[in-house]
Amino acid sequence: MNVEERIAAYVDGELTDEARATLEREASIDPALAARIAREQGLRMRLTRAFEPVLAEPIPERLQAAVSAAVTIGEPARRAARFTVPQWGALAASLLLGVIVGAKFLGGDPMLTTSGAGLTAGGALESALTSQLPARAAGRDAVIVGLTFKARSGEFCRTFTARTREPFAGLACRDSERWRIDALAAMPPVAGGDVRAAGSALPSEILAHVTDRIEGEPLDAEAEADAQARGWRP
Amino acid sequence: MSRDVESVRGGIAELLPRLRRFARSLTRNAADADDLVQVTVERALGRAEQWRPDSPLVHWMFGIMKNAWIDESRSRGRHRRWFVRDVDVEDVRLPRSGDAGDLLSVTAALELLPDEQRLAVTLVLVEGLAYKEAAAVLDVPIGTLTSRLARGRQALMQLLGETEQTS
Repeated sequence: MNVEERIAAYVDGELTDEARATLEREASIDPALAARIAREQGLRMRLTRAFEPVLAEPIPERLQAAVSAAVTIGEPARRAARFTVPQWGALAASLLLGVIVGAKFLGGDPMLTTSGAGLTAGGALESALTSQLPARAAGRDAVIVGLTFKARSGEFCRTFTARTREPFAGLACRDSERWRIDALAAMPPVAGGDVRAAGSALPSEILAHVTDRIEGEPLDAEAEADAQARGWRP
Repeated sequence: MSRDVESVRGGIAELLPRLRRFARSLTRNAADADDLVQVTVERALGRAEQWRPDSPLVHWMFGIMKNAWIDESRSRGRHRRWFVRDVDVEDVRLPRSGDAGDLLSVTAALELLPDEQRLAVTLVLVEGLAYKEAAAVLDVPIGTLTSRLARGRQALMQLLGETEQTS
């Protein structure tokens, strides 16, 4: 397989565990590859999102009639219950601890802080979420913001990857005053220990959270700049 | 009515949302999509005994819909509308997404793909079928499916202005 086919197979969930791990390792030291993967993930998500609303539409009577009046058709399929609380259960406690500890290695304020409301962004993570616009992200930034979108709740949410010693990725949503961390996942370790070189491809579990919450399509650069200018207020 | 037909009928009722979604990604508007679903349902019920329970009903239905769509678009010409109506010309306008500026919306871009690529892209990226499953629906080898998929993806990226500057 050439690299294009590997990226496609990765995004489509067609790689073996081993091949997937290999590609993730390569992406972790090759930002251009990571960016290509992210673009393909973005395309797949846009397509999925574009047609998903059809599933929730009421079924026209003529189609029900075509199937047969004798067959009872229930309510049109609604989406499964929306994700409302961070699904920390899916995240092993040790991993979370590693991420939080790892987040301090860069020095400065910790990137993740706990408050009564749960986990919130701090330090370099908070400032990246608040001010980084992808077009201006520098290759050496410790935190790279990925997709920005409006959630069904009306909040703005952004995905990010943090290139700490133990790289991690996550989803943060903006409530009235802070960036709430709603999902976190560890990234493959960085080869050669170069903490600045970690990739920015989103782990699929984070992407799944995005798919679950997004309203419409991700913001384009202009809409993103606009939302930032308005302080990320819904 | 045979048991085959009854079990297929029950299955189809549950699949209507997914059939409508697949149809929507193939046709230009909701009315045409529902026409396509209707033709598909009628054809499927008419040959219910041909369904083999070892493959998911939805894949069998997608195959029938694919054939119905190809038959129609061939017989009416690639750029003519499904089941021509004289009134609702408005529906034909390409949808544009609100936040994509001058770029095409992803649905409009999908419409510009050749049929083969559109089917491959839709089955894998929208319907979430595995390569093997999509190849079976389209009745082509996996290699054919993946190359159509690759070309479709590349074309979409270009249409959406997402290609790399370097390549």
